Amino acid sequence: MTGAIATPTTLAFKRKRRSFRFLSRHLTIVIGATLMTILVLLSVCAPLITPYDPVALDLIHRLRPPSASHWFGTDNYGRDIFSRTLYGGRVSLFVGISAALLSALIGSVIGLLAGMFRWADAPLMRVMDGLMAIPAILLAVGMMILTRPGIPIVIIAITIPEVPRVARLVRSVVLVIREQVYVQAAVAIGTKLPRLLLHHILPNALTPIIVQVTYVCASAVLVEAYLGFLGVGIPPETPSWGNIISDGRTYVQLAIWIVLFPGAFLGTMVMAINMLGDGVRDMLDPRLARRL
Amino acid sequence: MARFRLKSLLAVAAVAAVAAVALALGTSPQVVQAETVLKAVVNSDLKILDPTWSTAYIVIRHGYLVYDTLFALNSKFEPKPQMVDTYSVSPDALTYSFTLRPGLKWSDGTPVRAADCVASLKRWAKRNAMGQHLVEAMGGESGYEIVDDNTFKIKLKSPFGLVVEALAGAEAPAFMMPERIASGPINQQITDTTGSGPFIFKKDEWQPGNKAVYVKNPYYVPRKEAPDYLAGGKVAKVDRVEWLYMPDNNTALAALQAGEIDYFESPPLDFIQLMKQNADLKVLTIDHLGVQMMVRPNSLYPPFNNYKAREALLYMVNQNDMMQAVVGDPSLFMAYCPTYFMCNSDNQTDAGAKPFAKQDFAKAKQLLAEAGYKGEPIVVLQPTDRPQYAAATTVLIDELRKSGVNVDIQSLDWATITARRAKKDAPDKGGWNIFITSQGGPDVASPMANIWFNSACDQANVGWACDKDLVSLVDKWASEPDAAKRHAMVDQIQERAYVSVPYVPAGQYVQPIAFRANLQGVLEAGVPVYWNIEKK
Amino acid sequence: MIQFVLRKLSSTAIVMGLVAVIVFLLIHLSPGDPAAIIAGDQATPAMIEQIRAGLGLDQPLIVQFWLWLVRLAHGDLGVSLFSHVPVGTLIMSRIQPTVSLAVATMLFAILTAIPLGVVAAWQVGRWVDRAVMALAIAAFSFPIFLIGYALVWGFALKLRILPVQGYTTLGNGIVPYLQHLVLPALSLGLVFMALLTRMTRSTMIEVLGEDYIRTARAKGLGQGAVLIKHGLKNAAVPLVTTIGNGIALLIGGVVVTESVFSIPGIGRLTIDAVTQRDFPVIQGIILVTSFTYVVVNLLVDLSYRLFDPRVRA
Repeated sequence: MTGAIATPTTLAFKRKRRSFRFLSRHLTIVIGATLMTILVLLSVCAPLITPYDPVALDLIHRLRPPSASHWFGTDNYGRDIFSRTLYGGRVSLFVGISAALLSALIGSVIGLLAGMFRWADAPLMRVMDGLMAIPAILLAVGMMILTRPGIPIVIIAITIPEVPRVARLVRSVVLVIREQVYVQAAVAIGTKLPRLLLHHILPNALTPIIVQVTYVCASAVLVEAYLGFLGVGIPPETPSWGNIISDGRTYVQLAIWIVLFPGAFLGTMVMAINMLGDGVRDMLDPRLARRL
Repeated sequence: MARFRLKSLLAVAAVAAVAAVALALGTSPQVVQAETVLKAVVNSDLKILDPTWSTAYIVIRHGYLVYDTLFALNSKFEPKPQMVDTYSVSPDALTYSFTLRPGLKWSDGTPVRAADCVASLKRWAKRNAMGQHLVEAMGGESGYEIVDDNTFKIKLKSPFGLVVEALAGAEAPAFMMPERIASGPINQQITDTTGSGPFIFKKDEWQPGNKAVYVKNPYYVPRKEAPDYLAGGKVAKVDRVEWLYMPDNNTALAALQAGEIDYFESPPLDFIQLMKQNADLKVLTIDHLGVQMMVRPNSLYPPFNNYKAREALLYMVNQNDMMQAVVGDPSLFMAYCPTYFMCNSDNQTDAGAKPFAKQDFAKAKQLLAEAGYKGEPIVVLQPTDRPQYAAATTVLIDELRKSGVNVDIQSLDWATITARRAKKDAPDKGGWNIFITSQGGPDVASPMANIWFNSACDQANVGWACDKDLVSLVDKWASEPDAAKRHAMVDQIQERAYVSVPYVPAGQYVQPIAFRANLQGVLEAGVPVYWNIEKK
Repeated sequence: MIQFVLRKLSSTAIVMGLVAVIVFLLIHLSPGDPAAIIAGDQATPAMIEQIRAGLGLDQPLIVQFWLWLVRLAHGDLGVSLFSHVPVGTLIMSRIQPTVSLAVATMLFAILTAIPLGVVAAWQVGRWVDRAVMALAIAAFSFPIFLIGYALVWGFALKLRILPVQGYTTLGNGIVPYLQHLVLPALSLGLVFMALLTRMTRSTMIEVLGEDYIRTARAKGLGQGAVLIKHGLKNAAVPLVTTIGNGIALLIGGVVVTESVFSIPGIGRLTIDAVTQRDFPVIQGIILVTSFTYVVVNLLVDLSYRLFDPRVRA
């Protein structure tokens, strides 16, 4: 504050205004985080909240619309959509987060290697280009028919096409940082590689990686749904948003609720993750907006 | 510099647009407006044109459009002459003589000769169970005799009661094609679709994965009788039939409602009620016998190599539950059908079925224990892309679990399942224990034509049901020339089947078709056929 | 420049070689058996074995790979295991609908995204900006097929102003051709509209902050003139990049969209081929789409050089 006279009321007003300004400036982060917390809590607590076993058949009560006993209705096997949606959230989130972390890890290692060592750069990046050239969904579909479908395979199938994106990003960050004077100086005084990585490269690369990881997570949740839609996703005995929607898509005209609720949850979740990513990016490094 | 950038961006967009227009203009087939076109959505994609090479339903339906048969079944399942004009049987029932209708022509305008028919029969019999029995009874292909251009004979060495029935078989029919095509090597698919059926296949407009086009055959000579099931006159009343393949059922349904297509071969069963309420649409059951769902155990490995474990399945499987999940609409399935040979068929009988009428998990558990089952994982093949099989499998898994079975679910797409189920490896080494399949009524109704019923051990279909006694009972049945005596033997066969359990019947249901209300003359022919349909 | 092009071309060739190996291995190690599928549901094991031998699928993997490479070198992509139609012909017969859909999608996305992005950048921080950004985030958060079903329900089944599905060639008239493209292009285009809007907005915000724009403003140039004359021109490069990168995403999206709207394009061909294990067709499609991607991105890279010599490889 400048030297103006501050009465208690104006101070309180200013403080209020400031917190309001934070909220309004970072509205995306606030909305994203709130939505995400709600959805994550619902999914994590699914066993406590849901009234039915998500895989229990009840063939008498099939295709029932939403009601007091089945909040989101039932599907063509009489399974409770509310329970399935919450349980499905656990699986979809697990897939999304695992794929995001895995691709961040592998992508960062490859990106660091390519950025740090000239000899590794060309071969690694050519392989990355090769992987990038195959459309992600086609590559994932290919992976899925290669082995027995299951959650681990879905995660790997989603991760592989994302790795090159992370690797490219990390490499470009490393290339920039490597040329910085203080890094050059550190190299000149004989700093060992692990120390160099840990103290200079990683801290600088962390923000773009975090932001990229949120986008990968959002896209992984979506790709899981696309794989389910194309019939090569997570096996039907484990509910996930993707395969619930895929199971229900024949019934769109008859029982829209089978698709509607998991679809809304899925969309909201992806949106929340994206908003969080945007918010973090804007808060930590507005200039990143250009690179991502 | 900056101006240059914007300009080139615009230029790229313009070039792309022009290219698209040019591409679109380039290769577009012109449709003549005056002709009547019937657009039908079929339930799978026509990829193979040789009905002796593949017996997939879609190929057989293609066959019915393009080819004709010597005999055809009427609605009472009696074989009636179709291309044949008259035929006679010698008093000892060993020589059959057939005369073709005069004036029959192939779609290229050349006449149909007896030699063509014999060549077609030879080709058909190489791949068909009934055909193989016929050739065995003839003591080899030398049993055919071409008398003149219009007449040929089949001479048997041993009695075979089902000669005409075999020629009229509906599920894998003996289609007639010119000798030059039929005499080609059996291991090569035919590519020439010349036939003598009511329609001609337009090979130049065929887009595998999208559509197949048929036009009226100008050379076709229909019978004078009114159409009756697959028999009688097959008159094409539309100029052009377009088969469209739409993998998304929801899209196909919406297209039918919007009038973009005229005919939907296999609408999802849950939507039948909805469509019945729509005045623009008609729903018709063309196949009153329907389809039988089956639970197929692998007889090579424990526990199902023991007949007691297979008997346990009989106690476990509740047809009503299965059908609820597969079909839903109670007007389309039978709550319980106690026969292997299709309810409402000639061979329907409840012999031997009584103990299994009621679901009994305790009994199933006990029988499994007696068969030596101790909680080992049982590999169930669960298809991910065949909704009806998937539904039935989901119920089966539930029933297995309730009987104390440790279920190992292998979720695979159908392509992988068809490969895996053919493997004789142990279940934990890439093999399997149990899966769900189904088969069309006319085949199932016959103890001989039903390949899942065939219990010839190594020679049997996947699952390798093995019961020599059952096989000899069926053989005796087939060689019995007298229909009444044959009928009496069915009880005995079924009683034996309920002991050795080649598979478990899991319910019988019908798959109606749906079409726009302006179509008239849609036939109840068991399979979708496109003759006699008019578009008003 | 020539050296740069040559280097780019050689690395492109290496990438394509890698793609070929990945594609072959991916497909041939899969457990599905095309022979069993060709034979149909009622086939006996003996029949399946016969068919497998007939197709050459009983040969060792390495032999199959070599034969495939030799044929590939002659431009022969093989023949569909099922329909016996050459893969090249099959792909060519499906290119028209896919290209139409892709072009319509991109046109829709570019024509809506650039104005939206510019307006958002101009009004940055205000409610218009907020609304546009919210729309953009929502548009790429919902799966394409859900958007597609919603559009069909509204425009085709309820309002009955557009067809539910299908594709007609331009030969049947420009109006039906466009009518059939509207809903698919809209479903698929929303994602790209969202991506491009975000890109346009952030680039514009950056450009508008530069000195010469301030100078232009100070000179008294009108708001609109500044936006269009200076801002948009400079946004062209990052936009072209986004479009280049979007090709891979577009191809993936096409697979889903064509399935929802029953459009007989490359996407539908892909799914059919995958479910039926039609090896040669799958290989052909992945090779052709990867090739498209690589070529488009090569062109994008080269265009930087043309546009802006400051850009290094």
